[in-house]
Amino acid sequence: MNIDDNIESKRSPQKRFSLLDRLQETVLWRSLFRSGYPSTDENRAMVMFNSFFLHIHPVKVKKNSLRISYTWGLGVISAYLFFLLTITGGILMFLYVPSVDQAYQDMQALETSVPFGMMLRNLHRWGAHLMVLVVFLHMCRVFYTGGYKTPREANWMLGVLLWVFTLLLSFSGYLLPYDQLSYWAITVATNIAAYTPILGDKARVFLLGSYDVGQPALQRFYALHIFLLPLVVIGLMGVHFWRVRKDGGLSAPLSETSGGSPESVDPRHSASPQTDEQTQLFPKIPSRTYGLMALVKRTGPMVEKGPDDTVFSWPHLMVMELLAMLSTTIFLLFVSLLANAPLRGWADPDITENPAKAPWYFSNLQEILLHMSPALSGIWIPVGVIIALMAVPYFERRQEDVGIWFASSKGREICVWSSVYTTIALIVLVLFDEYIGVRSLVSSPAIFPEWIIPLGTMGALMAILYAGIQRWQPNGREIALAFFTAFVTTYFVLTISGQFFRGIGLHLTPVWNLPPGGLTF
Amino acid sequence: MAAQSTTIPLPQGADLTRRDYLRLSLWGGLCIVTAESLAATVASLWPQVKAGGFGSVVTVGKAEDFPVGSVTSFPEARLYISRVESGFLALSRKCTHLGCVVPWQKDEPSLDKIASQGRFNCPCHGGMFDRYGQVVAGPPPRPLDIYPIKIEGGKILVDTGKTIVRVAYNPSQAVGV
Repeated sequence: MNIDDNIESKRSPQKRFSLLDRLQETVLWRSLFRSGYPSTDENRAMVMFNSFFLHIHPVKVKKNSLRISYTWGLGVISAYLFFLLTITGGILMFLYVPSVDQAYQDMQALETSVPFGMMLRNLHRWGAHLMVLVVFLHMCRVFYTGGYKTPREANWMLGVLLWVFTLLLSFSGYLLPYDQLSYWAITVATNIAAYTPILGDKARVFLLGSYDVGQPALQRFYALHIFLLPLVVIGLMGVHFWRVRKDGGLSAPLSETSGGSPESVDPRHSASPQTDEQTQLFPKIPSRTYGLMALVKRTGPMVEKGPDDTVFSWPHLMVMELLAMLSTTIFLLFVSLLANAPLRGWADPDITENPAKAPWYFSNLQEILLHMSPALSGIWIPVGVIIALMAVPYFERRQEDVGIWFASSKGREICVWSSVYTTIALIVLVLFDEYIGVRSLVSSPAIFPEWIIPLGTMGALMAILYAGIQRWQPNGREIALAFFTAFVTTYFVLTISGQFFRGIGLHLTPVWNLPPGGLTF
Repeated sequence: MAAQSTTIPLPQGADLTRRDYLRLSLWGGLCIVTAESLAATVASLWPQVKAGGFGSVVTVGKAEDFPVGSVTSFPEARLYISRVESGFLALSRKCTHLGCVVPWQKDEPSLDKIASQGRFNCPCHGGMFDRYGQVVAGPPPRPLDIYPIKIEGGKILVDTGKTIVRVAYNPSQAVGV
């Protein structure tokens, strides 16, 4: 037995047999930790199998997936932030009563009398904002490295869903402080729900539990925020992680996977060309593999390439993950020490704040709300974007450029061109609507300024984008890159203009002239 | 022993075996139970309130106290009384765009011909309304909603339980003295 070997080796006459060694020899210890400290390859494998907490990881990982410049650790950081928010949120639940009379006072108590209350609130608030940001960046990373392609289509869809649920989680928590910021943000958002087709105002009333934001709404949002949405997210996250493993670990360039990754499960997805009928009937079996294979079912790094491209998760992956979590914690603590989460006056249904702005991650939606029908900007465009994102892997299926940022130097040029073009077009449109205004040019019938002109403009802009990239003679992947970049740029530019350039009455105002409370976090 | 398949003749001529029948009942039953549970959940969470909970008939004051061009706020009744040339309008203070409370700005330049100053500015998305509640600028899709007014013995009574949604202003909406 390996464990015994370990202990034997420690029992050299020169070494003192310490208390820790003695402890590790007890039946209790060995029932808890079946394998010895992961200092040998076998124990490095065993620790991943035997630990409930580590078995989510593979025994070995591709070197590529440890490269910081490949993943930026964004997935791990997202999951870690969810964990951190669960912990801080759980503590906050002990200190908060979801009642319109009590909630605001509890917030004040957190800021003034509860020891470390302000810190706790800051960690939860800034952590939530950071998670919204990191999850979005994670999605961008996966897109730009082609990580959504076969066999990872379904996991990409799950990821898009997780992004949507992250936004919902953050937003459902937005009402809980019950200050002016919360009250009016939720009022506006739930009024958008009133434009839901068929249901109409019923959707809004059902969401609020009443006709206005009040006690029933606070209670509903509380239940959603602390129980229902996290439950869904935990479930989705579980499947998301599981599929990462089942789909062969993180995506990587073909050159690095052609030897067969240690995690390639399904031979149909193996990148190695199977030429004759024989190999199709009997998938290529590695000629020589690690002893690991006795332990791992159906996974086998191949001798020509595999061993050099992979490293043991313990310690390599463990160290990287620990680093990601540690730097996130330090960053979040730093931000929480420097800046306090905002708390405006007690929610007052009689006075709408001016400006009444959405939280920053929805200021892009608020920006488009200014320019077209709420049904179009608040429901159809978001739904359309989500469906389009989910559909990408089913239309763009080239395998050659998986694992390569922006696919090629051509792809990089197209992305730059697309983002410059989109930025200029959006700035022109926003300025045009502010100083000339579609509604003052064409006011009736209302369907023109509210639906036809906005939709026509969007269609025309996309057509120009498509025509503009033709000089690169783009393939499907590069076209997808151009449109995704246009989406990300739009998201970014409208967030900036909605958050930093909208002042009183939501008129264009430079950021240095914004009224107090003009920025909403 | 293998189950003997009993066939039940169907009107269309299609045959339903016992196995098909059981399978159909199983899935059908599951679907019905799921639908019922969902419906029950929605029903139990459906708000037990009526529109405009404040909804009683409110007396806002004497008719002669409102000079032409005046706009008076009644926060408890959640409305404005706007005195226009032909009479009174009880305007809901809820923006028809996305439900923000529209404040009356008495010092801003007017958008109608009744007076030179005063208009409604919605702070949420920049909607602007005149004394009639008509949209002059911004995204609101229709004029401010109104409530029915009755004048009895010189006093103005507003029925806040009944919201009137209108497409445009016309003088008949204003109730004369």
